[in-house]
Amino acid sequence: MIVGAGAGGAVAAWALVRQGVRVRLLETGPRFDSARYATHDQAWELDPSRFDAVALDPERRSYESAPGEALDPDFNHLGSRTLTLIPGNLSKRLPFVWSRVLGVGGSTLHYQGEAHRFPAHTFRMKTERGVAADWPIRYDELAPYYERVERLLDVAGDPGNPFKPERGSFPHPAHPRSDASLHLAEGARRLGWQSLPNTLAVLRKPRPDRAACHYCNGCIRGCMVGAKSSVDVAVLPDAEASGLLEVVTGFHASRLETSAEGDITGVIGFDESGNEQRHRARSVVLAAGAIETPRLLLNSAGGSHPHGVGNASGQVGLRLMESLYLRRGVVFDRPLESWVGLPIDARIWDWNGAAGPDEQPSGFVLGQLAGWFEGPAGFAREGVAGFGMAHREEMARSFGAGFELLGVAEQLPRAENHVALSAQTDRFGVPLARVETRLDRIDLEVLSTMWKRLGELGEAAGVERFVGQISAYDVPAATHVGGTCRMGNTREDSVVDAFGAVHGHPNLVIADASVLVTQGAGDSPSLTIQALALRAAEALADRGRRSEV
Amino acid sequence: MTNQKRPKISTNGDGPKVPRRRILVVMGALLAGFAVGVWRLMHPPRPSGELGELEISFAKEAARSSFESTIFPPDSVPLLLAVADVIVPRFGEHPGAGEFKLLPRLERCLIASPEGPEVFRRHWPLFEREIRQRVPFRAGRTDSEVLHEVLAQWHRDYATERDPSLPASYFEGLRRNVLLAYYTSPAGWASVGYPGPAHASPDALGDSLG
Repeated sequence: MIVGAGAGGAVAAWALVRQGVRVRLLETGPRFDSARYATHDQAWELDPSRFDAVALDPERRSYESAPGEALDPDFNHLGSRTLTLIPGNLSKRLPFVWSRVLGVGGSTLHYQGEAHRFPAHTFRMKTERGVAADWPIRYDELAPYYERVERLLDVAGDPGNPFKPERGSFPHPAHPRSDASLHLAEGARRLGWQSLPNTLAVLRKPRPDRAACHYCNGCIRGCMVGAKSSVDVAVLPDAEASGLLEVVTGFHASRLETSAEGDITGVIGFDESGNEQRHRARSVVLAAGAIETPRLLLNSAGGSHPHGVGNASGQVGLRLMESLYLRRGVVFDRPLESWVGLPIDARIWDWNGAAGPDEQPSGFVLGQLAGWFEGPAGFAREGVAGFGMAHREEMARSFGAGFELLGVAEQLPRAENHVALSAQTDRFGVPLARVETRLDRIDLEVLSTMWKRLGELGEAAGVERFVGQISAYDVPAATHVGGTCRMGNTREDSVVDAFGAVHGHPNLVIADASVLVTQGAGDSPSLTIQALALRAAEALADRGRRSEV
Repeated sequence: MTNQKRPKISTNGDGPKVPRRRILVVMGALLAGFAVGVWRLMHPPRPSGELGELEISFAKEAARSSFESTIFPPDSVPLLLAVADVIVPRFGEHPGAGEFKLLPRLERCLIASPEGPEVFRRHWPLFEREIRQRVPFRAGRTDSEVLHEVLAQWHRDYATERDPSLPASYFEGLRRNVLLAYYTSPAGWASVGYPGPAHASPDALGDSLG
């Protein structure tokens, strides 16, 4: 039984059926029809995401957030302010918002296809940087699983990245880069930095059942042609074809079923109509994400586990890591057709590996993104101020010359940032998750460093004007959220072991971002989640063969 | 406009009494209007793409359209389109926002907006009244320069006024959504050289809003 059909759950399902295990995959959301995505629709900017209609449905609310903290005025330069979206001068940080996708495919439906291997040092942060904790596994142990998932997802990339561990070739060569990306690369070169092709789970060549990428820039709205390797098109069809996988949608898991002895025996939840359902299972894989998975464990309290399953030491829900990001709008003085290309076709990894010149323990990566400025309507509102004839002239002159500079850093795990249970309940009467997270000075300092570096990058590339910015300083984001059931060697400081099994529950495995110990220095976590899920699922199947579960 | 009817002026004792000074003011306004009309004949509208006296055919456009707004009263549509055309004026061969089928698209934008349609519906009468108090507007014609100045002042005021019941905030919401409605249209795309998402199929390109 697997709960959650996103990045980790789908790969776990794929791995288990290949081992001959019969699997039922439970998903809260629907199975989306890719033909109905708004990616190529003439009105795509009017209806940019079909996913939000489900994820933001108040009926499906599963969490609440603590009020945001007062902002540190020393870092006011990081404040979000755009021409229309965010007026600026916020006095408090906005409450945390979980930017998830509910549906078969999960967040891979709206991700940009980034398929990064975490840098080697991130697995040994305590040893090498004196912060956070070491993982119970090393990079070298995970590398074979990274490689297999890269093949599964048809990842394209350039192996010659000097900031990453040495590796063999990718399944496919890197994608061609857009004019905007190449323009920015020239700016990076002037600074002595390297803008390198991104590694992307996006098809360069067609497969019999999927088209190659046509560089429409619309990954975040869902790929209509199946070029992006979201797990609904790249992983699950093969697993379903085996006849061993059953996908159940519209199921809202509420708690784990346990025996009198405390063994996990299944999953209890509700269908869309509110009817309670029980799914018995020999073993359960939780892959519901870094908020929902701890919520499920905590809501399963009772009997031999009064504080929740796997929570004997009170570790479930602790050390939530949110996304430390910064986006700065830039407009250049030449046409760059910034609406064309893969959204993030390059990255600057100079601060992703070894400690950078700023000697901050948290790494980060930089890059560019069409973002707000991708379409004419977005640029008209966020790229050009005012209205009337001057606005029209500026639109005609500079549309396509603007995009966003993007930086993503890692947030170091801290116990006070956590997920607990709320006094509020959902429509089924199940307690919501309550998310409490705030930034520490070290977070603000790494954000500030990114702000400076992005400024330098823009200047070096010949920016005509900076237009707006938005950052985690006052607008939190959950893009790379993780860490709430981290892996470790002991139950005193972690929830799962090195193979994702919950301490004391060998037939309960977690295969999502909850288990991450650190955040990979700004790299996107999906490939690591999937490599860990593959490893955990195969270990679970091994335990099953040995009759240990 | 139903909500802008002025009291009838009568001098024969049947209607309400009107002071002599007011009669003079009204006659003066009529004479001024006549003078402006003569001036207009001598000074035809500037070429498209510039601000100036605007011939507004929006009333006809609105009359032709079968679309009935759930937000704006029918007799407000000409003024709404005049405002839209100041936000996005005609630019060379590219039409202004008020010149194409804006209403259905704008309606959709306002319904999906963070403020929601009710805010725009509820505060429209005040917004309209504030404009009419400042801008000469008679059937089918208005002065776009004056309208632009009024709207520009509200746009500047918006930085300090966030109350949606105030015209500055109302105009900001309208401005954002007119830009959204216009620049998601084929006319808006053409005006900035945007070809649309790569490999869009002809079927998908059909304007679902008619």
